Formats: sequence, C-alpha cells, structure tokens
Amino acid sequence: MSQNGPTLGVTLFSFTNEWQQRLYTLETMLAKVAEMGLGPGLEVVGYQSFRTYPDVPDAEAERFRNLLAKYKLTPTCLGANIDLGRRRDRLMTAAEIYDSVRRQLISAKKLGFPIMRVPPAAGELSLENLLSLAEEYQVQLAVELHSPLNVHHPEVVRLLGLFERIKSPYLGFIPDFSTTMTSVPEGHWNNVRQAGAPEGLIEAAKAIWITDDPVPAKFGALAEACRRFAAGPAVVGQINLTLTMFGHAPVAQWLPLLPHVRHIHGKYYHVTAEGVEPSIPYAELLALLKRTGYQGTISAEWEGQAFTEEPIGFQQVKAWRQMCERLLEAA
Amino acid sequence: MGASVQLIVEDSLRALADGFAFEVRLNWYRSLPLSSVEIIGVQLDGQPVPPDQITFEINDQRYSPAELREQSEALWFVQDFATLHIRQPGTVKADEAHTLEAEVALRFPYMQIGPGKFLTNVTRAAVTQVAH
Repeated sequence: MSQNGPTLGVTLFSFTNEWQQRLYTLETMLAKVAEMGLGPGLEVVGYQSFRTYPDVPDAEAERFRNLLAKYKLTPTCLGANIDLGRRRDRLMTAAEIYDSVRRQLISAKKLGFPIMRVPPAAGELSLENLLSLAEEYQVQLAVELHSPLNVHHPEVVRLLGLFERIKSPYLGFIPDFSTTMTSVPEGHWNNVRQAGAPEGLIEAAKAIWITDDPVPAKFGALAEACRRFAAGPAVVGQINLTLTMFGHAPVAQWLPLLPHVRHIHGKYYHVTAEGVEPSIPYAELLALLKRTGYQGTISAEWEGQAFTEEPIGFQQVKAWRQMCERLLEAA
Repeated sequence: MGASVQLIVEDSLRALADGFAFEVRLNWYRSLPLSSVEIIGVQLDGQPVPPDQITFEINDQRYSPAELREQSEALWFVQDFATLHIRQPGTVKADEAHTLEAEVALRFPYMQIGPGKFLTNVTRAAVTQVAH
C-alpha cells in the first residue's frame, strides 16, 4: 500500500445493476474494473458474488485469486452477513452464528481477503467470542459502521472501549460515509412517493431525519407519522429506509474511531457532471483522512442502484474516482 | 435493488397444459434464503389467484408459498430468475395477451429493526404480456 495517503479501490456492490442484469460475469467484471483503472483495491459482498456462499469451493477460490493477480487487483475486504432471521420461527442460536462466521472466515481466507466486514452485533454472540476465530484464520474482523450507527450508539461506544482495551490487530471498524450525510438524496423521496406515500408523510419524514434525536426515537417518530397517515406496508417498508440508509452525524465524530479503522466504505449516491456528491461532504471527509494520515483502503460504494436500474455503475465509479483524486490532491 | 427493479421478467409468460408460468427477479443486491421470500399475491387479468394454485420454482425445485417459509438454507441467487407456476388449466393460451400482477415481500434476515422484527420490502408489478 502507498504510504502517502489512502489507497482507492471499489466494491463490486457498485455494479449491482450490471450484475443483476447479467451484463457481466465475475471475470468480465474484474477485467472491466482493471481496464477502467478503478483498482487496485477490490472488495466483494459474499452473498452477491458467489453462488455457493457462505462456502466457496477450492477451485473457484483459486480461479478468483488468479483473476485478481491477472488484473493486478488487491483483495481488500469480504462483505459477510449474519442472517440472524433466516428462520421464521426463531433467531439463529449462538452456535449457528459461530458456525456462520467460521464458514465465512474460511471463504475470506481462501479468496485472499485480509479483512472481513461484520455487523456490529451478532445476536447472542459478541465480537470477543469471535476473536479467536479471526486469529485462527488470520483474517481481521471489522465492524461496519453504517447508517444508522454513529459514535454515540451504545454498541459503538462499547466496541471502541473494547478495541482500546485489547488492542488486537484482528479487530477494528469499517466506517461508511453514509453515517455522515448532509441531506437525503432526492431519488429516495421519489421511491417513497412511488410506493404511494402522501406528500405530508414525506415532509414529516424529512423533518424527523434532519433532527439530532437518537435513532430509536427517530424510528418511533416515523412509525407514529406512518400511523397518522394510515400508510400501508409498501410505504412503511420504503420509508423506514430513510433511517437505515442515511445517517446525519457530523464528520468530526470520526476522529476517535480513526486509530481502529481497517478499511472504509466510500458510500455515495450520485457524482454530478461537476464532480460533486450533493448529499455527502466528501471534501471534508477526505481532508480529515489526509490530515490524520490514514493509510488504509477506501472502496467506492455506489448505492445509486436504490434509485435507478440503469447500468451506470462503472461511469459512476469512474466519476467518484476522479472526484476523490482531485479532493485528496487539494486537501 | 430500488423500487425501480422490474419484478416481472419481460416476455416471460408461458401457456402450459396445467395453467401458466412467468418469471420474477430478486429485487435485492444479494442472494437471500427462500424463507425471506413471501408471495403476497398474484392476479391474472384482475382476478386474484388462490394461494394453493401458486408454486415458486428456483434451483430446479418447486415450493408452495407456505413451504418457502421453511427453507432457511436454500438461497435465491441474485442473478437467477424464479418462476411462478399457476395451476389454472385453460386460462392462458399461446399468443393471447394477459395482464399479470405480482406482489412479493422480501424480509432481509440480517437487518433486524426490533425484537424478532426484520426490515421488509414489498415490490409490486403489473404488466401485460403475450403468452408463448
């Protein structure tokens, strides 16, 4: 990794539209990433890219590693999930969670990923219970701090205390830029509108989002607004995303986390023709990372597929890349 | 992944001896266990199809809507189309145009939003297709 700033890269999540529309295979997608100069960092979501996930057969893992070598890409992070609610009748047990993490760590190791993204809470199991697995497979477990989490969240406070106490190289954070947004992208309100929400409910949701209230209180207020407007399940499902997808914390709250950051999700929704992401303060975020000497990786994580099925992921990642290079240079 | 993903696959309506079938997309960015999939309803030309006439085919296996709920290990891979089979002999014939409506809920099993409660998205689509 370069010693003069962050290393940029991409998660294949950014090409979800292209993937769903079967426009690429894993090989042609990696080739395109290399051809457009979007690496070297390369991240995948396990349950998106591999049909047999959480397991990956040895031969397929070898083929993947060979492709990365061929295209000069560096594996950064495997996105794991813990499907706590996969059964309708009960949550996963502690033993099932442990087994799920173990299988995904084995896959991460085989595929060559040094870091595995995990959620902040794994049901009955805490991160301490999983540390020995991370050490065994020599893959770091990094907790994704995605909206609606922020540094004041009790779970994040607890994790920060844990990391400072045990100082393990195998535990850390992956902050996501969605935690520090300055506005909700207009595309989201269009989706809520299309689901059938009245304008009054949308105005109420905007007013709830912009406050500095704790997230659980915001969920409560949003549920109350939905009842007031007699919103149906389609509207409720869509409007709840307002609070899960878009966080509203100040950039400065990243500071105490930085010593424990292993990787970053460069979340964004739209980079305009002028090279600006209107909802996320990229200039401020990248200046902070440069000033504090962050030497890790950042994946471009385009989530505009929430608003359009147009296969514009590659164009958008290229635009993100140019924006970030310009801002890092200027910072 | 957004509300804009077209649930019903274009030009997928087929007339069959025991009824008809059409294909649907997974409206999410990652594969999901079949237990996360709920077929809320299907309508043919405005007429609701009784749930016991619907089966859902994925990975070369067929499931009733109730059986889907029990399948917590089998995955619907994000690049695959599932087929909804409707057992209604004679309602759809080749070269006829019909209006199809489908409504599918996806419960994201890794996104818990309350005790025993998971974020759930509902996708609806209505299209007119000529049967093959």
